[in-house]
Amino acid sequence: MNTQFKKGVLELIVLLAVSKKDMYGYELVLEVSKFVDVNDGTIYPLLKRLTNDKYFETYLVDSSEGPARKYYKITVLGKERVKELKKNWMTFVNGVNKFIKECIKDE
Amino acid sequence: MNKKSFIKKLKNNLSILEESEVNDIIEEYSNNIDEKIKNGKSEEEAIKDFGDIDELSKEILKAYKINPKFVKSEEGSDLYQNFENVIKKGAKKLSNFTKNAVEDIKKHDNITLEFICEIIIKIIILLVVYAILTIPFLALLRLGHTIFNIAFFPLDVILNVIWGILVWVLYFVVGVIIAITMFKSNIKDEKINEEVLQKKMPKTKNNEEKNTKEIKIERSEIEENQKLKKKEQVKNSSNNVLATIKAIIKIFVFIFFILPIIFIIIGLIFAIVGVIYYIIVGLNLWGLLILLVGLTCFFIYIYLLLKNIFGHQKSRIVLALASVILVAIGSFVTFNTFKNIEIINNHHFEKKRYEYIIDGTTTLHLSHLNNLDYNEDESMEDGKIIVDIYYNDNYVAVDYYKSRSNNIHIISNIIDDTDWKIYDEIIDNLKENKIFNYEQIRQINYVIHGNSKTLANLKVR
Repeated sequence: MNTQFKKGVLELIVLLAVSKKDMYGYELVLEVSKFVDVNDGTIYPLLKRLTNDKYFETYLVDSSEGPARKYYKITVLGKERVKELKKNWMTFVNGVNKFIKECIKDE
Repeated sequence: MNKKSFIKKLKNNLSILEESEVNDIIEEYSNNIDEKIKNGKSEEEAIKDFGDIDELSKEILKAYKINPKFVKSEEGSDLYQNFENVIKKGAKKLSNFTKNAVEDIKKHDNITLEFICEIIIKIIILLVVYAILTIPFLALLRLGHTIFNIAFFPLDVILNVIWGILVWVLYFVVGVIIAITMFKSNIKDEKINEEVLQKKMPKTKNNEEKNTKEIKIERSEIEENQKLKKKEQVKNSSNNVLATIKAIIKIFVFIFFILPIIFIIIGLIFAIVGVIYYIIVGLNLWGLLILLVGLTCFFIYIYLLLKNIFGHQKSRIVLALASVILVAIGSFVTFNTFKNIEIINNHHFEKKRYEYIIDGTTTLHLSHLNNLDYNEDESMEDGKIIVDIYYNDNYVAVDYYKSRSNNIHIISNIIDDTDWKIYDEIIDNLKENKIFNYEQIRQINYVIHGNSKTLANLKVR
C-alpha cells in the first residue's frame, strides 16, 4: 500500500483504538497489526505526533513485569479529530464504492 | 544491530531535542524491545520492527515539526563522525555525478549495458580519487619523518615505521569507506529499478491482451517522464559539483590542518604532563607551564575554528583571549626564569698529581685527552716531570701504569651509570638556577710541569 496513504489512514485507526480503551505502545502495535500491516517504527512516531498535537495525553502505570508503562489516553480535542477523520473516511469510501458500482453496471 | 547501538544511534539522531524528551522516547522504545524479547522474539528482530533507524528518527522529528534535513547537516558533533560524514557525502556526490553522466551517455534502456558502464566509470573515478588521495598522505608521511628525525633522533627509525603503518592504514580505511559508499548507492539503485520494473511489467502485460496501442502511449509517457527526470538531474548535477568541491576542500583541510593540529595538541598535553612532573620534582617551570597551557588553548581554538569551516561559527572569544593572555604571561615568566639561570663553564674538577722520572725514550700516553697545557718550570730537576690531571671524579676514574720500556700510560675509565648521574645532576643544578657545560663531565685536562729541556725530550701521545 502507498505509505503516504497508509499514514493518513493509520492516524484514524490509532485514534479510534485509543478512544476505545487506554493503551500503551506495544499493546497498540499488537492491536493495530491484527488489521493492518504496520511496524513499530510507524506507530511510535505517530503516537508522539498525536501527543504533541494534544490529541492524546499520557500517564504512567506501574507494571508487575518490568518498568512502568506509558499509557495513551484520548483528549477532548482527540475525540473531535476522530469524528472529523471518520466523517472524511466515510465520504471517501462511499464515493469510491459508488464509483465502483457504476463501473460494474456499465460492463 | 543490538539494543545498545540502536539506542545510541537514536540518541545521536535526536540530539536536537531536549534531553528529557529523548530519554522519554528511548525509555518507551527500550521497554517495547524488552517486552518483545520476553514474548519470544530475538533482540535483532525486535529492533528490526522499528525499520530503518534514520527513517524512524526523521518521523520522530517530524512529530516535533522539525525539518530532519536541517538536523542532518548539523549532526555529527564528534570529530570521527564528522570526518566520516564528509567522506561519505563526497563519495555519494561523486557517485551521483557519475550516474548522471552515465545516464546521459546511454541511449538504450538496456540495464546490463548501463550497469556495466556505470561500474567501469565508477572504478576509473575511484582509481583517480585514490591517486589524488595519495598526495596528502605522502605529505603527511614525509612530515612525520621530518619531525621524528629532528626531535627524536635515536628513536626515529622505530617511530618512522610506526608512523608509516598508521598513515597507510588510515589511507586504506578512507579508501574502503569511499569505495563502499560509492558501490552501496549503486546496489540500492539497482534494487529500486528492479522493483519499479516489476510493478510496471504486469500492467503492460494485462494491457497487451486488450489493446496494444495503449502500451505505446503508456511507454511514451514513461519515456517522457524519464526525460524530464534527466533534465532535473542535470540541473542537480551542477549543485553536486559544487558540493563535491566543498567536500574535497573539507577533506584536505582535515588532512593538512586539523590532523597536524590534533597531533600538536596531543604533544602539548604530553609536554604539560612532563612539566608538571618537573615542577613536582622541584624545578621552577611555572612560566613554561603557563606558556604550554596557553599554546594548547590557542591550538584548540584554531582546531574548533577549522572544524566548522563551512558551518556557522560560535564565537569563542573567551578561549582566544585566554590563550593570548596565557601565552604572553607564560613567555614573560619563562624568559625571566631562564634569564636568571647562571651558566657555569668550569665544572667542579678533581686534581690528581703524579710525579715521574723520565729518560729520553719515555713516551707519555694520555687517554681521553681534552686539553693539554705545558708549564715550563726551570727550577725543576732535569728528567723530572709532574703531571696534573683535572677530571670529575664522579664520572671518571684515573690511574696510571709504567710499562717495561719506561713508557707511562695514564688510563681513565668512565663510570658506567653516568647517564643517570648526569640527569640527576642537571636536575639538582637547575633547582639552584645553575647550568653547566655537561660535555666537560667526561673530559680530562692535563697540565705537565717540567723544565724546558725535559719537556723538549718528552713524547706525548
